[in-house]
Formats: sequence, C-alpha cells, structure tokens
Amino acid sequence: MRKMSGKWLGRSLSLAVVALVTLIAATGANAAPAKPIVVGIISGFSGPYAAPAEDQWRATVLAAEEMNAKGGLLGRQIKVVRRDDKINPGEAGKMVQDMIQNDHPDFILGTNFAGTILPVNDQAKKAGIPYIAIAQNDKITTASDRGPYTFHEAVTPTINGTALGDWIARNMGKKIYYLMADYAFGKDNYASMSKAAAKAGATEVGLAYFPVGTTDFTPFIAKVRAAKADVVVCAAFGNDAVNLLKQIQSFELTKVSKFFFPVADLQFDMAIGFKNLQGTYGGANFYWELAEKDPAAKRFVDSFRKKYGVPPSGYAGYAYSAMQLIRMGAEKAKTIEPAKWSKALEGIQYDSYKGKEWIRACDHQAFQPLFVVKGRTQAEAEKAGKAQFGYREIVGVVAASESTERTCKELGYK
Amino acid sequence: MEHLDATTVISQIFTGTVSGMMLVLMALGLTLIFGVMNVVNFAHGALYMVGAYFFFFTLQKVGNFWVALILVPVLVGSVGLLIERILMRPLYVRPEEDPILMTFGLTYIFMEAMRMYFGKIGLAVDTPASLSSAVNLGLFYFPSYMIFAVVCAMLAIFGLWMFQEKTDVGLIVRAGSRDSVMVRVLGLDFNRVRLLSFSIGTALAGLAGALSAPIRGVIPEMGAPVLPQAFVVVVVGGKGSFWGTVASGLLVGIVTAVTSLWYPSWAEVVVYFLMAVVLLVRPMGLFGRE
Repeated sequence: MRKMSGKWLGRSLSLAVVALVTLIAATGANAAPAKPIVVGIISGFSGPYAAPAEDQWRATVLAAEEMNAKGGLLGRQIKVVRRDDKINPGEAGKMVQDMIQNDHPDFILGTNFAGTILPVNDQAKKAGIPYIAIAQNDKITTASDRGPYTFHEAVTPTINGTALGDWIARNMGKKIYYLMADYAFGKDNYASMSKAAAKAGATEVGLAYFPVGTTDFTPFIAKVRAAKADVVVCAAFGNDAVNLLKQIQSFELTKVSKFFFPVADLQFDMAIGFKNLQGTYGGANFYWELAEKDPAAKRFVDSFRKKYGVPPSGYAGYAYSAMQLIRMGAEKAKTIEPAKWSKALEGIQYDSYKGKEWIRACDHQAFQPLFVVKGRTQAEAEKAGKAQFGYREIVGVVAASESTERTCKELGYK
Repeated sequence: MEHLDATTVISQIFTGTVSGMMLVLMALGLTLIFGVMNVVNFAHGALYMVGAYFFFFTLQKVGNFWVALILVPVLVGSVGLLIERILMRPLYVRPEEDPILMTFGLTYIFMEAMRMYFGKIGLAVDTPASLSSAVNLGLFYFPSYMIFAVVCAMLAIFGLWMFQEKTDVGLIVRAGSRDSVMVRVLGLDFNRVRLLSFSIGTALAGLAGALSAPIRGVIPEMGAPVLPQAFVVVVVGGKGSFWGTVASGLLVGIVTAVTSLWYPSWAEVVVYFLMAVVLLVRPMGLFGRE
C-alpha cells in the first residue's frame, strides 16, 4: 500500500512537472511580453502652474508613443505614469514614494517648480532610480545634492541669468534697472544677471525688490520711469508678471525703456495675451517658431501640433528632450541598468528639439542654446500669419557655453 | 531714505487718488449699511471681489465694456437684495453679533464659489481700446483708464449724495439712520428702507470691484486687503459724515501710495497708524460731529 502510493505520487508529480514546463514553454514562446519600461512624471498638475505641467505630460506621452511605434526601447514598450505634487515640496516627496511603491518606475521625470525638485531627487536617489530634472534649480547639479543617476535637462538659474545678462548688456543697452521678485527666484536671477551684465560693461541704475503677490506696481513704475534705464529686467512670475505687464503697458513705459523678463514661455503667453506682451522681451529655453529654422525643432513642433492642436511650450521641450536622454542612454549602453545607462550619457552630444546640446560629465548638466524673444502686437502677428500663437518673435540666440555655469570644482566635484 | 524727484512723488499721488476713490466707494457703502441697519457688513470685501468676477464674466458674455460696467452694479446690488431679504432680515431680532457672523461666513462662501467656478489663478481684464493709452499730463504719462475710473467713481459718489439729500426716499434713508424707531412710529415701511440701503451699499462695492479689475487683475482673495482699509476710511473720516468719508478715502489712498515709494512693505500698515492717531486725537474722526 505504502509502496504503491509512493510510486503513484512520484509518477503523477513528474507528469505535473512535464505539463507545467510544456505550458510555460508554450506561453513563453507565444506571448511573454517583455515587461514595459515605466517612466513616471511628477509635476504640479493642480494649482497655478497646472498648464505648464500638462504640457510636460503631453510631450512625455508624445515621445513615448513615437518610441513605441518604432518597436519600443530595447524591444520593450514604454509606459508613462504621472503624479500630482500640487507644487508642494512635502507632497512631492510623498507622491514620489507612492509612485515608486506602486508603479515601480525605471525612470522619473519632473517637476515644473524649483521648490519640488530636490525632494523628488532625494527619493529617487534613495531608491537608486534615475531622475531627470526638467525645471530650473541651482542645487540639483551640486556634488552634495545630485544623485549618481540624476541629470538636469533644464538650465540652472545661474546659466539662465549669466547667459541672458551678458546678452542684454551686449545687445540691448548698458543702463540696466533690476525689478525683482522678493524671493529666491528674483534674488538668484539678480545675482547671476547683474554679475554677467557688469562684466560685459553694463551699469546698474537701480534695484528694487517687490513682494510676491503685489497687485499695485505703480510705486515701482514711478521709480523705474525716473531711472530712465535702457533695459528694465523684471523677474516676475505668474500673477505678478500679469499685473506688472498690464501696468507697464497702461503707463506706456515701453516707450521709455525696454522690458526684459528672464523666463518667458508660451503657456504663460497664452494667459497674458498680446496686448500686455507687445514690445516686451523675454528669455526662453524654447520657442515654437524655431521650427522655421531648425529641422529638429520642426519635427518636434509638427508632431506635437498634429497631436494636440497647439504648439509645444518650453516646458514641453524639456520633457520631450528628457525622454530622448532616456532613449539615447539605453541605446548606447544597450541596457537600462542605471549605472551603465548613466555612464553612457556623460559627455553625450545630441540635438533633440532645438539645436546642439551636450551633457557635462561632472555635473550631468545639459548645456544648450537659449533664445531671446520679443512680443508682437496682434496686428504684427496677423501680418506674419500667426494670429493664434505668434505672441513672440525670436530676436536673438544665446549659444550654449560651459562658461555660463559654475565650474565642476565650484560645484564640489574633484 | 532713497532720494526721489518731485515728478515721481506727484505721479504716485495721482495713483493714490485712484485707489483712494475706490476706497471711498467701498466706505460709503459700508457707512450706509451700518447707519441704517446697525450691521457691520463683513461681506463687503467679498462683494467687491464678486463685482470684479461678474465684470470679467459679463464682459465675456456681452462683449461690451460699457454695458458690462452698468450691468455689474445692478447684478451685485441684486445679490445684496437677496442677502438682505433672505439671510439678514430674520437676524434683526437676534443679538448684534449674529448678522456680523453671517456676513463673515458669506465672505468664505463667495470666495470658495469663485475659486470653484473660475479657478484659483488670477484672471486678467483688458481695458477697452479707447482707454488703453496713456495721457500726457505734462510731467508724466498717466493711464487714461485710471482717469476714467476716477471720473466714474466721482459720478457715483455725486449720484449717491444727490439721492440722499434731494429725494424723498433718500430723506427716509437718512432719517432711518438717525432714528429708526421714529421712522417706524411715523408709519413708514422700514423693511423697505433696509432692503434699499443694503442693495445700494453692495452695488457700490460691486462698482468698485468692476472699476478695479482692469487695473489690479481679478483673484478670489482680492477683497481681503480692501475691507479693513475701508473700515479705516470710515473711522478716520468720522461716522456719518458723507464728505468726511470722501476726504479720508483720498487721504488713505494717497498715504498708502506715497509710503510704498520708500517702504513698499510698510504701505499697508501705515494707514493703521493713521487710524490710531486719529482715534487718540479726535475720537469722532476727522470730520465727525458730536
């Protein structure tokens, strides 16, 4: 009895094993889809900067679809997921943790706000997941903060301020007035822009800080007018920028000085409108009319417009380019294993959407051209055949240069 | 102290006049409501904000700046009418703080409602093309829209004064604010007087909101800083003095504007010092009687 049952058990067991192996082999040969590569994007999808965040998402989706249509990356499809950080640093940290636990991303992108970049970076660093930052932040590339697999596709405020400050002094005028928002954004921009402008021979004729949330800019306007500057640099963002621009226009100050906003973007232009933008200047990481001159920009703008009906903003450009970094690193390293992927990107040169860029090996910073744009009047836009989105024309290109950033040593690298 | 030339200071006095006139509209509405109903309307700032949003909305729907400008006070006045009739009237027999709490709560309801419907981001209202340039005043250019806003406010103030002084209904309103019992003894319908006063008061807040919208933008929190300033205007001017309120509104506006030239962060605080000094030296206000 005992012997018999033992034999029976052994036979049935081996039969079961054979059946299982056959089953696995069969399904494996047929389908066994390679696990998709997951890219998670975290950004301020609610709150005052929701529109730029949505534009980042659109570009990420577009890039993923383009890659999937060509058979994916290393034979694996790309899946994108997203989380809302409500432009709150605490929430950003929590949401990244949630994403890591539930969606197991292979790469993380984000955010749309300087203040949420470091908390996202901290969590990604802890989990050993590559993170590509796509908004301006000065600390993300320092030796103490950057993770081994962290990259920065957006420019730093230092690069932005230095490149634009130098350009302004050389091309727009030597007497500069600085009207800056009274927090990190305004102070950082002042530090880098004034230094670069002074080096290029400019003199500072005035400096005023306005509190965030100012609705009445008239006292500043009175001072700016009295200063008779060639150029007034205005570091203002969101509602502050709208109110300041309105009051500049209603006092017809553009007849007295040239007004320059260091961060200009189509997503904000659409909310501000022709009437308030006309005749003012801005610095931009991307502007869609670049498509008329640059083949990579044309490819990006055309496919984005075809899919979404509107041209991409600079935020979309950063996100799209970050997706290309993921692709290029994987194709070059032939793996998405973080250390090898990351190594493959160090020093890489690329042209994804706006001209030649490169990644500096020490700090993983993307060096890239910037653009100076000038607001058109509605009539000018209609005449140019761009009545709908032609808020600006490109009046200057600032070439990429590592001299605009702190040196590797200054950032803490050996 | 930073040195600034006279032109800069004068131009700032002009802009102070503009914000001062808006405060006058607010303060006159507050005084009217307080005088007749003995209620401090804490929803006044919110109604100013509602006026700005209604202006944005009607401008979008109607497409005509002038029509919208006339419609908004009527609409906000109607909101006031409903508030008085439905929410305020049952509270007259209750303790004094009940209507105050009610209007305080209304502020939050209006603010959240606007956030839900129009979003948390500010909205921009364009000035009409005919008023979008600046006028050369000799020393400097000044936005023609701001001059227009002052003229509009002046017309409304003069109209209110004519109504209160020269019409029979206005006479009853004034009588009601001096002695409401006597008005009722004389057989007049005091409920109607209250309804009318509240409605006119809120319409003035709505007008101030609409006129300010193209200058300062439209956000849900815009009423918050304006309400306490309007209280200051009432206290400094002296309760019950029509032209005293007008003068003190201009004073508060100009003091705020000129202070902000040198110390922007002090601009909103300095008016409270002004109020404290006035209360110590002339408790009845600069132009108050008794």
